[in-house]
Amino acid sequence: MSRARSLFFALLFLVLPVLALPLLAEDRDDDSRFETRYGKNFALPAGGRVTITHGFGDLVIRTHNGNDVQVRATIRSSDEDLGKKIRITAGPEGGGVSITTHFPEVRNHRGHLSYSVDMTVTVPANTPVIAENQFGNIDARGLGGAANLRNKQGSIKAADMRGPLTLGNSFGAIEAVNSGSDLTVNNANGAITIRKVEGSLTAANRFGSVTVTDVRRGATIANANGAIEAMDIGGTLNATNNFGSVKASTIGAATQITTSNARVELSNVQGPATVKNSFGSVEANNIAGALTIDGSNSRVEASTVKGNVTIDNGFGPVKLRGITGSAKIQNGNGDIVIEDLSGALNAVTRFGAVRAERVRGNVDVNSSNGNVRLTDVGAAKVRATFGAVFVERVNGAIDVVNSNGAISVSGLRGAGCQPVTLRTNFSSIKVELPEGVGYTVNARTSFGRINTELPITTTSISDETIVGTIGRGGCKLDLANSNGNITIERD
Amino acid sequence: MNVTCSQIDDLLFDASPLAMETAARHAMECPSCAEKLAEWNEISEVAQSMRTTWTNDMHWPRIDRALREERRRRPVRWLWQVAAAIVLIVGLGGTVFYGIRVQTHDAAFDRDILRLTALDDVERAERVHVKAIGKLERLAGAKLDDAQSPLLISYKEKLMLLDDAIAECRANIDQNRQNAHLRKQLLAMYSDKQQTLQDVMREDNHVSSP
Repeated sequence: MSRARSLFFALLFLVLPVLALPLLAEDRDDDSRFETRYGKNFALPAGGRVTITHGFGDLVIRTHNGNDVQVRATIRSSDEDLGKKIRITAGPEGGGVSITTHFPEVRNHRGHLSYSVDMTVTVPANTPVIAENQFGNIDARGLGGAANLRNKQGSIKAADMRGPLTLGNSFGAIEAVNSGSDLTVNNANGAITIRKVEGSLTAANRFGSVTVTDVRRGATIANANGAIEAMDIGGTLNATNNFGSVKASTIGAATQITTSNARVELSNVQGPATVKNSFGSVEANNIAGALTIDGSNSRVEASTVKGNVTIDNGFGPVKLRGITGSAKIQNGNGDIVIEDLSGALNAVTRFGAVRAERVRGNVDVNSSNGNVRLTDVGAAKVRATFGAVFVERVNGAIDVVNSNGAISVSGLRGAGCQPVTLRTNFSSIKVELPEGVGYTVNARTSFGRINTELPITTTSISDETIVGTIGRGGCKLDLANSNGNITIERD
Repeated sequence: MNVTCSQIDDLLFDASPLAMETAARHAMECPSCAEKLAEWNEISEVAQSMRTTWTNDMHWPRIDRALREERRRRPVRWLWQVAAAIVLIVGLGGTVFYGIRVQTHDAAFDRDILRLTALDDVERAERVHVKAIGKLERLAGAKLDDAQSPLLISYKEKLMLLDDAIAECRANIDQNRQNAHLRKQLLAMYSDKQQTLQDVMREDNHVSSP
């Protein structure tokens, strides 16, 4: 037993140091690893500002309850001589404290000298701070005074800042979380991420995305070639982009979006919304105010809009659903589809079809080269050129002028007289009339026939003309055709 | 007690007076066992005659002393083992603590200043990356040279911006070669450039101006 124990201890002596060796085994492939620390405290006069100019290392800014400015830094270098030449100067300046990191000029070193300085500056809670860094990150937290943080080729992270905050960067990400006041952000080529701003926001970028969540007041966002995403904006939103998509959701007031060549998604806006886009789709949903969309070559879809809708589009389909106000749509070359519109509809398209269903107001459609189909509408006025026109279940007057397309009208549901005027060439006219309503009929065609299911008391009749009355007459039924038949049927 | 011939060997090995008496009784009736018993007795007598004894007054006291010394020495060895274990544990703990401290310190240093071996790896990977981007740049170059659409012009502007930033970063790397942040930044910009060139390759050149 004793022998076994001795053997065990002997093995322990041999094995454990061997196991511990890797901990001591450093990769000593470098000639020298110089590291030194800097630490000084400076009294800050009341109302004084802290200015930091740093580079080649991370800059961390924190707050404390004291009245002094604490500067701590770790200087690292691959060469001791070089490391010793790196200086940090700090002291009173301009009523505040100024901190600057100085690096020696490195010459004729064949690339084997390297250095870095990581700095942490702790300031009194409400101190205004101006900090500048390059080739290192900035991480600031909890500053109560105004802060202006600028970086170059490094990221900026600012959290729990209470004062007005300005962040500027080029070639680095910017992240601002929980800002207590107004926030201004400028970047050139890096993502901008902003979460929770108690004041207003102004953000500009060129080639990076901008993602904004939870801004209590208004937000103005400008980008060039990067996506914009804005959610939970308490005030107005003004977003401008060029080649990046824009997605905006839950906006408390008026919203204005301008972009091109990209998709726009807009939802839950508590005010009017204006979207200008070209070569990209526009989707708008649940807009409390008026909606205006100017899209050159866009697919436009809008639903649940409580105000009037105005759409001016060039070459894309337009689809609207659930509009409480009226709709005015101008499209160059695209279909127009409208469903559930409470107000009037005015739609103009040149090379697209128009389909409108359940429109309580009057409908005025001008279509050059597409079919028009209106179902469950108020009064209907249609001007068409080369497409058929179908009108079903109408509550008001019907006025259709077509150049070279058929006209079909049925389901006149209005109470009392619904005047009907239908004109076309080179196609047919068919109208279904309800019983019990008197019409004064004036139907004429050339190179066609007039057929009627309803008895007409004629005052003038020929193969191509019928003038007379249906029932007691009174309501206008004016049908004119050239080179096509006219058919009057019972509904 | 009656025994059989097969049991005679066991009785002889037993060699107790009772066993020997029983064997003798059986041998009186069994000639073969009687012969075996006789041989056994003869061998026993010879063995008895060969036995030697030493009588030394110092022998037992010496053994007794050795045993006492052994007893006295035992706690000393045990203490030595405990002490050795403590030394080992303290030594090992110190080594581990020192090792971890050194490693933590080195890791912090490595985060800022790359080791030369790591730098070699980084530069090797960087060269491959730059070569690949160069190929992509040549492919996209023709498209960018006669860029007509605002989007391609925008990409061109972005690439120029990136090239300027890459040049600035490289100039700083020339003076600060092992700085890890500069290397990471350069890698990020090369990746951005690669992505932008890929976007250019995907893009049509006929997007109208807004």
